[in-house]
Amino acid sequence: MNRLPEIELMRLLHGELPPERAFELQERLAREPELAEELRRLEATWDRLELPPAAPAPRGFARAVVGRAENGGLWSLAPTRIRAAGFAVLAAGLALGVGIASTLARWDAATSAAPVATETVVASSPAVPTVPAAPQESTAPIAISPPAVGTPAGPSDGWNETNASGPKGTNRAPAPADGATSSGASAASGAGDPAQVADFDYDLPAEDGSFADEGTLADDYWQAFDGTESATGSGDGTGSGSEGL
Amino acid sequence: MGTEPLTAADPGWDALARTAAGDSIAFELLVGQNQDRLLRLCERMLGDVEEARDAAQEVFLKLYRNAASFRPRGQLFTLLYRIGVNHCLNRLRRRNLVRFLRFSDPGEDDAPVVEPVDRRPGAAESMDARERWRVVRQGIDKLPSNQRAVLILAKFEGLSYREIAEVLGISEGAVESRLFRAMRRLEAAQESDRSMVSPAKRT
Repeated sequence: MNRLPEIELMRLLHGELPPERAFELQERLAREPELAEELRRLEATWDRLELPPAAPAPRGFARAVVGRAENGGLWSLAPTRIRAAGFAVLAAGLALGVGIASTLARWDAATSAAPVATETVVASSPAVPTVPAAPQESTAPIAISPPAVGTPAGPSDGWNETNASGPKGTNRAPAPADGATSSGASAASGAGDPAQVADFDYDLPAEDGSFADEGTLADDYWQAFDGTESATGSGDGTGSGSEGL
Repeated sequence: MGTEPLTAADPGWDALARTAAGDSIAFELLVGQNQDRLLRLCERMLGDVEEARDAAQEVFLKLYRNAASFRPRGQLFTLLYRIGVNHCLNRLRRRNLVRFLRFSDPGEDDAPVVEPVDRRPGAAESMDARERWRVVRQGIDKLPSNQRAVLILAKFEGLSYREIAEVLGISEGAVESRLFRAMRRLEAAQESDRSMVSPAKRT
């Protein structure tokens, strides 16, 4: 016996051993319990090899194969998943191509049609009337009549009333109503009420839209115009300090 | 079609010759006659029903496209088995490559889905059978592909050593050698599984 005894046993188990060899081996198995035990183990392992019954062919399998063979070329040999992925890539590529082509077409139409359109529009359009240039702002100072003395005060808001109490009628934020700072014009405007000063809102504009700091420019202008120190207050004529005019 | 039968041994060769001549009905007949055994082979080799159906379709399509190039020799089903085994081995190689690239453990994807407990009569036996199938499937999946092919052809397809050698293009000695090594591996796997699943039974 020039082969491994286990392989001989396996052939015997599978019925692949010639009859005369099988007879010899059977005699040897009767004499050698180790060999018989080996055969028993091989047989047990072989018998334990069990799998569930295979699923039957799905209905129409042959027809599907024939259809796939007739309709497809090399592409039909590709697995289903690869073909699905290929179709997805193809669809994405087509969409991308259509998008690029559309963009290019629009861009081309815009660049080629623009000069023609301009000429056509210019030729067919009526003459556009010349718009007069905006008058240049005069550098000369604007004559502003100072408010008459005794002009009634405007709306009685905290700003104007408080403004009147400021020094030189400036449109500044009021000083704290401690009496000392608002004593100058408090009698004319009737302002200086601590409650009104306290209600002053620094962030809100006056009724004419001016903010607190704008009054400084107006006062400077007045000083440059007539060299006097006027106290016009805000431009609403509510200022009561006109002692210089 | 008027095609002369090329061999009297297997009428399948005649169907294949008619297929090569463009007879789709002959091809459909050929597919119908061999679909069950080819599907079974692919399912045993791959361990997945859906993948086996896909693989079997591709095997038939390969046969269709190369129908004119095959020379009649022996039984047609050995040619089908040969194409099928090679196709499944290629799939298994691709699967192993994907596993390698994903750094996943072998057999990780093959873990069976946990099913709810069946309380019908005979459910315990059914559960035992399923457990045995799971162990066998895992053991087969762990075999090297050449041993797996030999084992499946011998055990589940019932092919003789000579037919297996013809299908795989190897000698009969190589068949029995691979089969014996496969048996040894499965025996060791079954022993280790028994010792892990029921340690109490050992004592």
